[in-house]
Amino acid sequence: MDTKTKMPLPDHCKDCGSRSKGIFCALEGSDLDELSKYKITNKYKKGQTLFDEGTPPYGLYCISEGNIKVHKSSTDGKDIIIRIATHGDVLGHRSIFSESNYQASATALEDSSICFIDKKYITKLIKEKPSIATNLIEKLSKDLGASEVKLANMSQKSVKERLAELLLLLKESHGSRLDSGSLIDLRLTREELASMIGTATETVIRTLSEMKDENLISYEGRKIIITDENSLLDIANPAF
Amino acid sequence: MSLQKVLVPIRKHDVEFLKLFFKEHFYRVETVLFYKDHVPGLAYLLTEGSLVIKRNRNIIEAPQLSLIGIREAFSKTPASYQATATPGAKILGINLYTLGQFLSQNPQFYDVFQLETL
Repeated sequence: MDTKTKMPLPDHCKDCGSRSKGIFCALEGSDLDELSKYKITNKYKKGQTLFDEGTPPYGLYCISEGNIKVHKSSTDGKDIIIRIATHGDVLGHRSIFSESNYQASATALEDSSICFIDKKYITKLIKEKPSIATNLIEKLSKDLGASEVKLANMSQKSVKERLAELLLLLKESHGSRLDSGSLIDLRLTREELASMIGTATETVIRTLSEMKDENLISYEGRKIIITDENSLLDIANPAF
Repeated sequence: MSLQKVLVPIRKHDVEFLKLFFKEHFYRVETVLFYKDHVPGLAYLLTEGSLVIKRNRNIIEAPQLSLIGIREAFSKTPASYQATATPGAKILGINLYTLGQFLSQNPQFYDVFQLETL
């Protein structure tokens, strides 16, 4: 059985494998029962959209399983990937609190299990449970920090440095250990990698080929393995 | 159930009353409100423009002042169809958390929303 396509949807929040990573991790007992009552869980197939850029926010989305691409359209119609959200992440929270439409779209990169929680209920929960508010503030602060680092990197770092840092970040969030190195468990296209670091697809293809020749990585199609993490770290010179 | 039966027609004066409790939004881009086999997170009332319902090869355009997804959202049942807002649609989003309080204060809307037939 393909466990990814046949993944069971968590009926109760206490059964969710990503609960400890999420902003609702502090809830227990009757609070968790109430959250389970108001959440709606759906399985999104690869390519299905959770929400579109420019549409009104009605709630936030918790990723129970899977990977979601957060992306925006550029003025010339190209798709720019802002980040990849994974299990335990929440999406749509900024638009709820800023009372603005979604600033980006969110699309499933693979079959994913997503919980939707009503905006009005979230607002009530935040007023009643300071721990939720604290977790959200912490998340917003981390998001802001990451955005500032990314902005600085775009102006100061070379493509190779940005690509090295991206591969290391993807390894941290989506990596699994192999004998030969660390496999990045995300099958991103070269175009998607390029959009994440703000460069052309051809440049990413060339840079990956250079990294392979230098024995920093190996790849087969979209599967990338980091074989020399220390050297990649030296190139990336990351802020983290 | 035919696709027409998934629509709940709402009278204009009821729509005006609902606008006091729920927000109306303008959709600039084509937006899937919910997919087939998904439980809708909320119900949608089309006030202007166009909304398309699709099940397999059957496609219908919902007339204005149609409410969709209310039965599925209320009973947490997966929808048997996909609903898509077209550019220019104005839609009232009826979220479940507020709906509970709204119905307790305005029980006549159980009939308006055809929820008694569940």
